[in-house]
Amino acid sequence: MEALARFFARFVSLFVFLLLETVAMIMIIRGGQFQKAAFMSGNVVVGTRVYSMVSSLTDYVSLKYTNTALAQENANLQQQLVTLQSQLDKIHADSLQQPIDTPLLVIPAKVIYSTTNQLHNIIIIDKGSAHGISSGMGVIDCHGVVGVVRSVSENCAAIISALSIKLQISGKFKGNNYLCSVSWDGCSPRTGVVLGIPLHVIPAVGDTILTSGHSAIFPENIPIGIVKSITENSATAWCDLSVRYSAEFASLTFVNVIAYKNQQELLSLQKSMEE
Amino acid sequence: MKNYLSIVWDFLLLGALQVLFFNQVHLFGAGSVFIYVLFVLRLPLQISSTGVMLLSAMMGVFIDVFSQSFGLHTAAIVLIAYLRPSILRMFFSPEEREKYAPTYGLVGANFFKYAVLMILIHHITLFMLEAFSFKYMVSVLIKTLTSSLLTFLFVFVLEIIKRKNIRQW
Repeated sequence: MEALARFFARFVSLFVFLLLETVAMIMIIRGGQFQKAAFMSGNVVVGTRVYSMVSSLTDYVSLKYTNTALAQENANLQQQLVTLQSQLDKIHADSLQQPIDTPLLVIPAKVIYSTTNQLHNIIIIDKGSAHGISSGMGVIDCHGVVGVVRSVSENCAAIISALSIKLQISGKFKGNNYLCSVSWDGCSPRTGVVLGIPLHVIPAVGDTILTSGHSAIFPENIPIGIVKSITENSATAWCDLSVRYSAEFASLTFVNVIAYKNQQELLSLQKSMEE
Repeated sequence: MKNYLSIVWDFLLLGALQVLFFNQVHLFGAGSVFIYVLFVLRLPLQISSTGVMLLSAMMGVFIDVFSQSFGLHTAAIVLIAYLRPSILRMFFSPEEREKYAPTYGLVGANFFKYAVLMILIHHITLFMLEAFSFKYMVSVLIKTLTSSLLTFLFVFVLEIIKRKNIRQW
């Protein structure tokens, strides 16, 4: 009888184990949709509230660094403004010229949660659909590309970080405009990889990789990273590059979301071409 | 009553520590710390294996919700909770298994052997499920080793600190 009871007890624990693992597996496999749904319905709101509380405390630590970075960016922008203003003045002298219409809008936002230790890292910011953010928009910071908006609730948005093995960013070399695609190596939060570059492109260590502007997510010429090392594959005529990201993912504080005014139009056009 | 409270306290303390602090930490480029594993390691021995699994599933769901990683941590922690009785039998004598809980204060240095094995199994499951393919095997192994080392380090420190509290029971 005792043996039977023990057997039964063991059976129960195995059963519970299998049940729990099955539930967990279903959650993992359907993870993407599940996560999106949970985010939309606001189940994560409690979480984001906690994170924004914590980030309001911890932000003080990085205040000095953030300040310097912002001042630097400000100076760069000032310089661009001066040059562009002088060009604009010249254009206005021509009375037939149409007024310039900016195709994109930059929405500043603050990071309230971010991870760098997973294979699919995410970032949560404190602006959402109420501020004009929708999924598919590109996110940059003052150094370079950060990620792409995945899902949006009213007051916050979840971003797939460039540190995600699923995300590929279309880029180009600064010198020769050769197109490439930057993905993450899945290991260090500082390095990405560019695979399969033909040797005739002659990449060099220190080359800058910029966004190509072909995807209607990021504007052209936003830095993605700098070539750190080159591995030549003698069997094929390709080489693989390791890229140091321009953005500092471990200490993100402020980011800008790029809202293209005609993104939907571009996407539907692209889709119709593919069909 | 006091025992129940200590489990709840462990749950909240380790969960909060993981979510609010260790989730943001990424040491030496490749290692992260999953301190919440200590919750399963320390659970009292009187609890049935089903109870241990349910408690650890709760912990896994808690971590998953706050890390936006649905199911990953739950799957890994439930696996070590299921294997816990067998691993306990590997390292501890029957007398030691009569004690209140497998903690450093009660069972001595053998605790750390048991902790290392549990942490290794947990981490390799977690990272393999996260990658969900063998393409990233090398990176998964590197991450498993560095993260296990780091997690063990923090488990060690917490156990040493908590040793005195446990001895009062």
